[in-house]
Amino acid sequence: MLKKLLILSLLFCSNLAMAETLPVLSGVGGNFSAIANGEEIEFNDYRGKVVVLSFGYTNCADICPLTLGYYKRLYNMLSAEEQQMIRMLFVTVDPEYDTPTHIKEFVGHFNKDFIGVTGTRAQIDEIISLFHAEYNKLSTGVVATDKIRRITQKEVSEETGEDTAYLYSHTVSLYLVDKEGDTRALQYTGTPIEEFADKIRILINE
Amino acid sequence: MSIIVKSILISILFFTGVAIAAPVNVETEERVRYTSSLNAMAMVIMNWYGNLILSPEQIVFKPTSAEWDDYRKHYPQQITQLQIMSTDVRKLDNGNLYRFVVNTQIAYENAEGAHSQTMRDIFTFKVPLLAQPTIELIVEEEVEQVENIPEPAFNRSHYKAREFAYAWLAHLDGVAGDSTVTQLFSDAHYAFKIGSDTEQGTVESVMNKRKQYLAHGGHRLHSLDVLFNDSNPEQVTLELIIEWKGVNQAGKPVLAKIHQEIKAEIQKNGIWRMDTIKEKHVLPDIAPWSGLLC
Repeated sequence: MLKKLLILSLLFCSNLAMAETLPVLSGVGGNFSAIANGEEIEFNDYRGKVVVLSFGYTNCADICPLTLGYYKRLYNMLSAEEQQMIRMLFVTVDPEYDTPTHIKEFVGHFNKDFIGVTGTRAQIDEIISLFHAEYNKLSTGVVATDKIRRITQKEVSEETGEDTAYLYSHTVSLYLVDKEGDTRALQYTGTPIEEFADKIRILINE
Repeated sequence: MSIIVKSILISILFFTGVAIAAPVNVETEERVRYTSSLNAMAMVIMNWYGNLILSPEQIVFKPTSAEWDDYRKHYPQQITQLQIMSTDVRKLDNGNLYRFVVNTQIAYENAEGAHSQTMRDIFTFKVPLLAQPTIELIVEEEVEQVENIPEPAFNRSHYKAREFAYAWLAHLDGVAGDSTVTQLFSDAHYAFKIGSDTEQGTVESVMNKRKQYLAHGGHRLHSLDVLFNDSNPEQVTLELIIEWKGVNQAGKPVLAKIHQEIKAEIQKNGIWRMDTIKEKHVLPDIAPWSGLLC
């Protein structure tokens, strides 16, 4: 009993100390509307949950599969109770290509709990602006998607013919948002998983 | 027995928590005191040096206190440019006193031609919390003649812009200014965008709304760009990047990087008055990868 209380005491102290390393980043993030896993949502719907949010697109052959792989390892490191308290969002920068069904399938390849976010171009630009993120269209033309090393293939009807897409560059940061919707940290896939998981736990326990 | 042990441990837990939480408040309080004092002192320093420079420009400074007239005789008469090369600010043991060291390079003219010299002035300020500072003492430490001459940009308007900016930051910090300071901002239209929240109105009303996000902390000037309007000499635009640290209304620690675009009118009497302030909170410089695209 004594040992348990001492451990609890130490945990409490370390949480307080670490909370200081997670200040609210003023003006980063905010409420927005979009389509998440096929349903219209507002970001405020996630109030009460800790959110990890990042940007990408399903035709990305570079960082996005790495980011989703990182999401998967991070999520698996958390207990079932902790997983209940967190939402992992992946926001597309290519809403024209990444339909609600397609992005859901893409993120679901990594974990069925992950949430693929899409919407109109205006909605995506609003999210990008709120999080001070960026994206750029890399080519003026389009690329045949069978030339891209991809995780999931979009279903294309026969009438559509060859499937093509634009390539983008985009912000690589992972935004850690607390239960009140305040952004508290910017991480990336180079952040040690244990360190990121500890920060998530601090926000869960706030 | 177990109840006693539990009680003791819970007490330890509580007091350890308080001990760790306490430095947070102390740090915030110290920051508020330091930054508000720094902004208020910097305003006085800019006024001091701006007042020394001769210029054909109609740039008006509030006169410095007459008690320092004798000290000001140490400076050359016809100062054309004055560049602050470095500064050092230290809080003295007495809580309200600060030592503000300013190293300058001064260009001046006399009957024999143009000259340049370096100087070091050591100001001692008394700065009551959130009140205007007063100069308690000034010591001239070094004067040395030098060859090179400061850039012409370090003129009277250079110091006017900085005096104006620091007066504004001190006002945002909550430093009580006299009417000559507060009237500079009293009629301005203030608008901010913080995340998805926007607000606009009078300076007072928007400052009150802003406290929800930035309740208690201090503003530190990171950079200042001054743009004079060539087609309208009565207008000037100031672009400020400000860092803010403190706590929000809920007591959470907050870090902000604030961009302000301030448009001011240079009145016929030479006084600058603020017209508009547009504020946007941008991404703080906390992570080297925050601007990285892939």
